[in-house]
Amino acid sequence: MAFDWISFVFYMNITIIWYFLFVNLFYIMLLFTSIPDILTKFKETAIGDIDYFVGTAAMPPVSVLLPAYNEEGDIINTIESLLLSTYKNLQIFVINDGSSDDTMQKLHDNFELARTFPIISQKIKAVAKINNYYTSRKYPNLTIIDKEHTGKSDSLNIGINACSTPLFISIDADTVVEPEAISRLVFSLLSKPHTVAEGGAVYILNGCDYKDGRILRRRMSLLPLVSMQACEYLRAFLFGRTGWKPFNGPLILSGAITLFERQAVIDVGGYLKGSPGEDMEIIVNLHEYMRKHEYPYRIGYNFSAVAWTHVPTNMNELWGQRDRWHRGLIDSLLHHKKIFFNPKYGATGLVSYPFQVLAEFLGPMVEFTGYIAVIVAMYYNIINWHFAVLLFIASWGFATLITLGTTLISLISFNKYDSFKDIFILFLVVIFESFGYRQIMSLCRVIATLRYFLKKLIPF
Amino acid sequence: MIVPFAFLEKFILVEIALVVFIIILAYALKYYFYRKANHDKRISNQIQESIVSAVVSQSYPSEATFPKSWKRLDIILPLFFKLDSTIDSPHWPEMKTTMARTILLPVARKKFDSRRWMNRLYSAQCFELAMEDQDEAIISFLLEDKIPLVHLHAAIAAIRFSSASLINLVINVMAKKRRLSQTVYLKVFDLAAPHSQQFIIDRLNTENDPFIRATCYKILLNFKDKLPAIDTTNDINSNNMELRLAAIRYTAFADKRHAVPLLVSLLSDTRWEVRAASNRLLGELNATQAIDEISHCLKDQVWWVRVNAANTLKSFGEIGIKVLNEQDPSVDLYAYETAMHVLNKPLT
Repeated sequence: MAFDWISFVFYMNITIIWYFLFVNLFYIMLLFTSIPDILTKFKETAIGDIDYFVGTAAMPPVSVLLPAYNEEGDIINTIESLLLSTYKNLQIFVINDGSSDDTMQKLHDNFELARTFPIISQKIKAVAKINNYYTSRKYPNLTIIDKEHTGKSDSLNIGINACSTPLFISIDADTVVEPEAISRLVFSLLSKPHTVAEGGAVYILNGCDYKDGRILRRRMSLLPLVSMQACEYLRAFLFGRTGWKPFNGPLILSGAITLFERQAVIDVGGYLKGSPGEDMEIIVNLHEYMRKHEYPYRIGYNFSAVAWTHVPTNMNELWGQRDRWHRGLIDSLLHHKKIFFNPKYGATGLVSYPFQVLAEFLGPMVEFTGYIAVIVAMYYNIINWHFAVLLFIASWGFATLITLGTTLISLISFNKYDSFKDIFILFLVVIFESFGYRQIMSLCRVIATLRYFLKKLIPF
Repeated sequence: MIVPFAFLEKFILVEIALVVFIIILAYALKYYFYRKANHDKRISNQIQESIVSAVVSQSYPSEATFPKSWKRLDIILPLFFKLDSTIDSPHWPEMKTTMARTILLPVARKKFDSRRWMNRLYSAQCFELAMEDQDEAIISFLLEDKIPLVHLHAAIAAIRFSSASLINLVINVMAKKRRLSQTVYLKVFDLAAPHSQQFIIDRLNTENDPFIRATCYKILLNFKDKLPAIDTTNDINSNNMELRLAAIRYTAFADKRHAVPLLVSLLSDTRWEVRAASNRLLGELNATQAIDEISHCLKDQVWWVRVNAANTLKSFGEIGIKVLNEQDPSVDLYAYETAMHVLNKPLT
C-alpha cells in the first residue's frame, strides 16, 4: 500500500497546531500564576528604603563571586557598582580565570592589590591551579584570585571554596548591579522559609549611559538586534520566572545575578565543570537534590533586584551565545533525565521539567517542522491562505501579544525605561520580532541541538 | 476539521482581550500604588515635622496626642531609621525610646500574631527599640516564626533586652537552626549586654543536651575580650562531634596557655574531624612550636587532616613553607602531593 502523503501532512499540521495551543495555554497559566507575586513585588518596590529591613550589620554576610575571563573593558565598572552596594556585610571575590588580556593589570591599577597567602578550603572539588591571591589596600572587602583558565564553573567553585559566608551571589563580570539589588535579594531570601536560591532580574546595558559603576541614564538601544533582546529579557524575567512559583520555582535563574545559600550548593557538589549552561545546571541540581532528600526548599525570584548586563551586538556573537545557552539547556535536561515525569520529584518532575523539554527543547524543532509543514500543506491545498493567516496570528501572533502585555507591565510598574521613545521602540520590536528574528533564533537552536547530538555520537 | 476556523478566530479574540485586560490592570495598579505612596508620604512628612518640632521643644508626643491615623508601624519605623541619621540632638535617642514605649508597643502587641508576615516583622522591630517584662511571651512567640527575617529581628530584640529567660530562649531556638541562621544569631550576640555572659555560663553548668552545650560555647566565643575559664574536659571527650569541636575551639581561645599542648595531643585523636580542627586551630594560634607534630600530620590518611596541616604550615610563613617544600615524593607521596597542592606547585 502506498504511503498517503496528503494524510501525513494533514495530521502533522493538526499535531503542530495542538502543540502550539497547549504550549501557549500553559504560558497563559504562567501569566496568571505570576500575578500574585507581581502584586507583592509592587508593594515591595514601593518600600522606599529596603535597607531599613536588612541594613544592619547583624544581617548575614554575603560574598559576591565574580568570575572574569578577558573582561578588561567592563570589570572595573562591575566592581565599582558592587562597591556602591547599600548592603553592609559584603565581601567581593573576583576570580580571574586566566585572562589573556589586561584584566589583571586593570585590577592592579585600580585597586592597589597586595599579595597574600590563600587559605582556601576544598569543600568543592576545583581543579584550577591558583597563581596568585590578592587583597585590595583600597577596599579591604575586595579579594582577587588569579588562576589558570579552567572555565566559569571551576572559577565559581574556587570562589565558593574561598569564601566562608553562608550566602553568596554569582555575578557576571560585564554587569552593573543596582545599589539596592543585593539588599533586595537578601530581603527576599530571608522573607520566606527554606530559600536556597533567589534570582534577580537582568536588563540590557547596551544603550544606557553609565560611569564609575552607576547607571546615569536608562535607555533602550537603537540597534534592532539589541532592542529585540531587550524585549526577550523583559518577557523572560517577568512572567517567565515568576509564574513558576507554585511549582517550587523556575528551573533557570540568571548567572548574571543570583543569590545562593552556600551550604546547599556545597551539598550538591557545586557547579558542574564543563557544563555549557552552568546557571541552569546548578538550579536543576538543587531542585533534584532537595526533592530527592525530601528537604523543604524554595527557589525564588525577585524582579525588583536588578542588574544591567551587556548583550551581543552582532549576529555572530548572538548566535554563539544562543548556541551555548541551548546546548546548556539540553545538557542539563539530559543530566537530570530521571526527574522526567517522576512523581518523586513533585511539581518539578511532573510540570516544570516536562514543560522545559516540551517547550524549550522541542519547541524550536516543532516550530521549524511547522514552517515546512504549512508550506507543503498549502502546496497540496490541504489548507488555504485564510487558514494559514489565522494560524499565524494564533500561534506566533500569540507570543507577540503576550510579550506586549508583559512588556507593558514591566514598563508601567517598574519604570526601568521611562521615556516615550523607549516605549515606542519596544512596541515596534514586539510587533516585528516575529518577522525574521524569531525564525533565526529558532534555526540557531535547531542547529545547536543537531550539533549537540552529533558531537555525542561522533566525538571530535 | 479538527481545529475549526471559528475556534481559531475566537482564540485570537481571547488573546486580544487578555492583553487589553493586562494593560488596563497594569495602569490601574500603577495608579492605585501611586496614590497610596503619596498618601503614606504625606503622613510620614507630617509625623516627621511633629517629631522634629517636639525634639526642639523637648515636649515628647504621647499616645493621647498622637493621631490614630499616624499609628502606622510601616511608616513610623522606617522614619525613625531615617531620623537616626538626620537628627543631631542628644534628646532624640531618649525621645525615640519613649515614643516606642508609649505609641509603638501598644500597636506591636496587637499585631505580633498577624497573618501578614510584614506585620509580625514590624512588631518584632518595635521590640528592638523598647521592651517590657510582659513582652517576653510575645518575643518567644516571634522567635519561633517560620519567616527568617521575623525570628532574626525577634532575636535582636531578645538579645538587646538580655534577660536570663530570653537569652536562654534564644539559645534553645538557635541550637535548632541551620548554619545560615546560626551565623546571624552569633553576630547578633555582639549586641548582648556584658552581664548576659553569665546566663550562658549558668546554662552550660546545667544543660545536658550536647547541641545546646555546643551552641553555648559558640556564643561565649563572641565575648572575645573576657573568656572565662571553664572545665571543658568532658565536652572535649564527648561522643557528639559538634560539641567536641565547639569545646576544643573554645578552649583554644579561652585558655591559650594550655591550648597548644592540648591541641598537639589531639593531633593523634582517633576521629579525623578532631585532628583536622586541631591542625587548623594551631594555625590560628600561630603555634610554630608545634611545627614538627603538624608536619607529621601531612602523612595522615585523611585528606582533610593533611590539607589543614599543610595550610597551617603555609600560614606560618617561611618556616612552614620550608617544611612543605622539603616533602619528598619517594618518602610519602600523599604528604608531597598535599604540600604541592597548597603551594600551588605542579607535581614532578
